[in-house]
Amino acid sequence: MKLVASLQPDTSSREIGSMAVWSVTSAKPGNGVELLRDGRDDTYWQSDGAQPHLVNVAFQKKVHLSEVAIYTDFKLDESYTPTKISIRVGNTFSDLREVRLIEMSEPQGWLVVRLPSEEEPETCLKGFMLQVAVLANHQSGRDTHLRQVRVFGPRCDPAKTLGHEVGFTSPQFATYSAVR
Amino acid sequence: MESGTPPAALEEHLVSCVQHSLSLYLFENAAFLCERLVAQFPSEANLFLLATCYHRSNQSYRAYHLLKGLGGEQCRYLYALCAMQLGKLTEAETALLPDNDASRVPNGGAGFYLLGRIHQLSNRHSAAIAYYSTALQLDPLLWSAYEELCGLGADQEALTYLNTAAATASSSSTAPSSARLFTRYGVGSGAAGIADVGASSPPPAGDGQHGGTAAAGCLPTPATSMQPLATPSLAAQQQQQQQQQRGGLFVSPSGPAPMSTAGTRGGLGAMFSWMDSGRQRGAAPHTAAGSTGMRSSDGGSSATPSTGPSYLTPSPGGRFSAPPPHVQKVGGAAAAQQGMLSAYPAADTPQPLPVTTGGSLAWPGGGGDGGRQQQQQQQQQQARKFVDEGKLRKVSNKLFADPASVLKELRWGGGDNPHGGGGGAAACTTAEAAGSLSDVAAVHGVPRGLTSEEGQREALLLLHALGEGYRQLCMYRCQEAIDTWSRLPPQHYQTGWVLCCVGRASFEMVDYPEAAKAFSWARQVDPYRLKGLEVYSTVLWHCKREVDLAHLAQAATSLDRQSPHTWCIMGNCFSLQKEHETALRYFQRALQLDPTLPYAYTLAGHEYFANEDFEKGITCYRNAIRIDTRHYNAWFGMGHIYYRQEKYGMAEYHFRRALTINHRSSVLRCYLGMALHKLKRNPEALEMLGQAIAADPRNPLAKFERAAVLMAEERYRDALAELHALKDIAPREASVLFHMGKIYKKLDMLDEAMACFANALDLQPPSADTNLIKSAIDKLRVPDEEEEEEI
Repeated sequence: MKLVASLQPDTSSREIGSMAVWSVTSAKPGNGVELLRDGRDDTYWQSDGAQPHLVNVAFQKKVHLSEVAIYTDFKLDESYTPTKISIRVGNTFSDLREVRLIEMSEPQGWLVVRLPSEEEPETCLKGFMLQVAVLANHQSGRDTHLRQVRVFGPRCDPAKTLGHEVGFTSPQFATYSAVR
Repeated sequence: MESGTPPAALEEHLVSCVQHSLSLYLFENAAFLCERLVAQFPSEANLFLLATCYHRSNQSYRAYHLLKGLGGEQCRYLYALCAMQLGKLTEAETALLPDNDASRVPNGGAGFYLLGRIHQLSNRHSAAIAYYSTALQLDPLLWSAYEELCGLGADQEALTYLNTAAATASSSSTAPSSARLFTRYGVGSGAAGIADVGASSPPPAGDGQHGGTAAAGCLPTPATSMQPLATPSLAAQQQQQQQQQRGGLFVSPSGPAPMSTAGTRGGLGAMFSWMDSGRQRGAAPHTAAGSTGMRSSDGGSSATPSTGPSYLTPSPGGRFSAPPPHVQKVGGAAAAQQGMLSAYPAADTPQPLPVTTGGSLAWPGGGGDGGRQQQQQQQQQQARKFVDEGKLRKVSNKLFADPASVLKELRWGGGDNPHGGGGGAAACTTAEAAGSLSDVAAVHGVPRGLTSEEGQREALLLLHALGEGYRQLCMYRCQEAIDTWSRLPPQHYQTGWVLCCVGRASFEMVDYPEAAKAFSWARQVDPYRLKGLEVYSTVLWHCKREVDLAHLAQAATSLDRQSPHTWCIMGNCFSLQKEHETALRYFQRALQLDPTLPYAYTLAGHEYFANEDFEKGITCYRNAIRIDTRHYNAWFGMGHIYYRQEKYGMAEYHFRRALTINHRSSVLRCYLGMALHKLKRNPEALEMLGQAIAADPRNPLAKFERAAVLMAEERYRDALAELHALKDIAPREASVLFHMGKIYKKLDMLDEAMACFANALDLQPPSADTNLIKSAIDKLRVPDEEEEEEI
C-alpha cells in the first residue's frame, strides 16, 4: 500500500471499474455514488447513514483484481476522512472475505492497495464482487467523504492467450505473433 | 461603368477576369466577380463558372446547390463531383448517368471513373470494376482508376489493361518519332520550352515572337515545334514570353485516340472542348499573339496550319457521338511534316487549345463567332490529377497557355472550325463551352503539355512498370512486386510513392527491417508525404522502436494535423506505449477525418482487443471489412478475437477468409493451424502448420505450434526435433526450453529435463513464469498424471 499524489499510467494493469455496477449503502442527496467515478478530485461521495459505509463494486463476470486506488484528502475533509478501510472480495454479498485492512492517518492523495496477498504476490484475486468498507473516520466522524475510487485488473499479454503457460519474450516471436 | 459598354463585351470581359483570377488561384476574387456575372447574365455557362469558383474555394455544398438540375455535360460532372464529396451518392450517380444512358456520361474516362467510385463506395463492386475498366479504356493514363481496380482485387481486368497498354506502347505509331517528346512550354522562349523529356528536338521555332506573327509564329517552326508531350509536365516554367502558344496543348490522354490503335478504343474519350473564350475577346488583354502561332503541330494536320494540337471533338451531343475524328489526325499529324508530332488526337482542325487566361473558356455567351467550335476540355486532365484519399479534387488542368497564345488561338478559331467530328462548333452549347473551364490556363510561365502519340507511348510504358508492380502488390504477390519495381529506372524508383509501396510489400512479407529501410528512404526522398506512412508506423510498432515511432509521430503532427494518417501514426505510437485508451482516441480522430479509411478501423479494433473489449473490436473489424472486403488484417482480427473467445469454428472461418486474400502469409496459416488444432483436427493442423513453415522458414511461432500439436499427439520425438530446431533460431526463449523439459520428462529422460528447466530459469523469464518453471522442477520426480496441462 502506498500513498501517491497522482496515479501513474501503468502499462501492466488497466482500470476495470467501468465494467462494474457501483452501489453504496447511503448517500447524501447531491453527493451520490456517481461522483465517486467522475474522475474529478474536487467532487466526493458523502455517506448518510450508520457505519460501516460500504461501496460495492459488482462485476458481471469473474474478473482478476490486482489493485484498488482510493483518493481522500484530509485537509479538505478533516473529520470525514476515513482512518480504517477494509477491502473485501468475493462472489456475492454473502461471500465476501476481507483481504486487506488499512489504517491511515491524515491521508492526502491516492492510496494504492495491491490486492494479492503477501505470500503469493504474483497471483491476482478473482471474484465477482469487491467491497470497500469504511469502518472508522478521523476524529470519530460519522459520515465519510471518498473522492475517487478506481479498481485495476491485470492486462493480459496477447502471447499468453495463445495458450502456452510460459510467455514469449524474444522479438522473433513477437513479430510473428500477430498481424496488425 | 458598364453602362457604356455593350453587354456582350461585359460578359466576355468578366468571364475573362474570372478565369484569370482562377488561374492565379484567387478564388475569392473570382467568386465575387462571377457572382456579378451571374447576376447580370444568368446563363448555364456562367453558373457553371460560379460553381467552379465555389468548388475551388472548398465550398462544394454551394456548388452542389447551384448546379442542381442543370443538364450540361460539365455541369453534371461538377455536380456529381460535389455530390460525392457531400456523400450524396445516388444523386451523383443520376447526374452522371441520367436515364441510365451510358452514352451521356460526361467527360469520358473521368466520368466513368467517378461512376466507379460511386459504385465502390456503395458496395457494388462488380459494377465498379466494370466502370473502372471502361474508364481505363477511354483514358489509359487514368491511374486512379487503375489503382482502385487493383484495390478491388480485379486482377484479370488489371492484367488486361496492362497488356493493352503494353501493346499500345510498343506499337509504333504513325507519328514519326524523330522528334522527341518534349514539352512545350507556354512561355517557352525559343528554346522554348522544350522541356524535354529527353527530347532533344530543336527548340521550336517560332518561339519568339509573340507578337504574333501568325504564321511565323506558328508552328511552322515546326521543326520541332511542338512535340506534344502527352503529359504536360509542369516542370520548368519558363519565364519567357511564350511565343507561339503552344498549340493548345491538349493532353488528352484519352485513350481513344492515341496511337494507331486509337480507333480501337472507344472514341469517347476525346472530347475536347476548346474554350475559345479568347476568341472573341479579341484584343483584349492578350497581346496579340498573333496568330496561331501556336498551332504548331501539325504540320501534319491536314487542315490547317494548325497550330497546336488541337483536339477536337466537338461533341455535339453526347460525347460518344463522334468517333474520334482524331484518328485521322493522328495520321495527319503524324505526318509531321515538319517533323512534328501531331497533337495527339490531332484534330484535323487545329484547334488550339485555348486555354488562356483570359479566354480560355469559350463563352458561348460571348456570342462567339459562330464558327468556333467548342470543345470540351478534356476533363481527363483534371481527372488525372485526382487526389487520393478518396477525395476528388480537380487539379488545375494542365493546359496552360499564355494569354497571348490563347488569343492567338482564338483568332484562329474564327475561321476554321469545321473540323471533323462534329463540326461541332456551332453545336456547342453554352454549357459545353462552359465546360471546359480550363481556367488555369494561361498564366504566364506555366507550361502546357502537348499530347502526342509518342508521349502517350512513353507514358504508358512508364505506367506499365508501375502498374504491374502495383497489381502484384494488391494480390499480395509481394516478392514479384518488389522485383518489378526494382527494374524501374532509378529516378522513378527513388520517389515517395514507389518507395512506400516497396515498404508496404516488405511489410506484407513480414520483413520488417527491410520495410523500415524502404520507408525511411521514402521519408528522406519525400519528407512531406504522409500517405502510406501509417504502414511505416506499424512496422516500427512491430520492431518496438519507440524512439523512431515517437519521432515519426512528432513529424507527422507538425506537418498536417488534418490528415487521418497522422492520427493513425499517433495512435500506433501510444499503443506501443501500451496506452490503449489514448491510442483509441487517436484512431477515432483519424476516422472522423476520413470515415473511409479501413486501416484506421482495423487499428481501433486491435486496441479494443488489447483492452479485452471484444464486442467493440468485432464491430470495428466489421466496419473495416464493409469498406474494403479485401482488408485481410480485419479478417484476421476477427478470427483472433473468436480464437480468444474460444469460438474456434468461427475463428477457422475467418482465418480462411483472410488466407484467400493473402495466401502467402505464414502468420495466417499458423493461426489457422492453431485453430484446427483446437478443433481437434490434428492432421489438418499439422499440414497447415507445415505449409506455414514452408511459406516462411523464419516463423518461430509456426514451429512452436507444430511442436505443441505433436506433443498433443504424443509424438514426442518429433516434437523434440522441432523444438531443437527452434532453439537454434530463438535461443533465448524460455518457453521453448520449458516445453523441451516437459517432453523429456514424458520420455523419462529426467536429467535432460532438469537441464532444460535450469537453462530456462537462467534466461530469467518474467516472475510468473519462473514460478511455473520452479514448480515443474519440483514435480520432476512426480509422475505426470495429474499435471496434464493441455496447452
